[in-house]
Amino acid sequence: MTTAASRAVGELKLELPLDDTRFTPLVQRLATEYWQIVQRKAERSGFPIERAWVTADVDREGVTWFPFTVQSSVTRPEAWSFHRSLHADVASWDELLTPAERAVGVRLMLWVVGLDRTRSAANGA
Amino acid sequence: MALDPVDLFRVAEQLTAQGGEAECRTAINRAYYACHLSGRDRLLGLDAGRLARRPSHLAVIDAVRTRAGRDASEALYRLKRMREIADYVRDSEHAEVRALFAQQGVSDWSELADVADAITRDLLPLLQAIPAATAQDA
Repeated sequence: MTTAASRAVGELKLELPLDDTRFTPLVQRLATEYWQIVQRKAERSGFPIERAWVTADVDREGVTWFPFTVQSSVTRPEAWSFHRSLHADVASWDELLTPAERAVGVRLMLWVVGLDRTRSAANGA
Repeated sequence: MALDPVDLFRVAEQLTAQGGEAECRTAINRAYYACHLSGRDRLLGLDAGRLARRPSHLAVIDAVRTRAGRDASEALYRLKRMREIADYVRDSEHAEVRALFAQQGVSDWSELADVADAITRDLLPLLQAIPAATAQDA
């Protein structure tokens, strides 16, 4: 049965900064594919998503990373549990990437953030 | 006798409990290195940093992805990003700090250290479950 939360997830758009030249067509395509995996899983499991977006960060070693943030109204342990539940689906996707795609894909880093940050939730209780 | 990275995490927890900004920033650093060193040494052998060419943080994160799964590597990256900002950006009103706080849904360093603490508690067991490296791996 489709819940209100999963309907909302289905309508949600991934935010990509298309005016940033680091977001090449390949980065955009891989981010969109990854988002579709997350979105499908969230719809199937009724996991609520408030917002999803990708940014670019350059680290101290000069590597450009693409943090892919998914914010949810759930607690942090529930967010981590959802993240872990993506394991098999994402591994299957990873395996099909070409070497050129993988070189970008390994820098696309999903963060599922649980926004229900009462202290007991943050501490995993 | 080798330092157990879990001891670094114990220090992180103690600092987080103290709650000051300097303590919380340092706690995030120790939490990241507890995980980074655990993963690095499980994958490449004790003190892989003594190799002629040290493995980059990207190389360790990618190896964790291969051996423990993408979710583990993503959690490690998340700590890495927090660590870089906690260590290098002193102004808490800086755009990078504000963006990180917004991403993590927190309002101060104490809350961010709580998040890093919780991530580390989930991640360390996954890293320590990686089969230990053999001499050939290094």
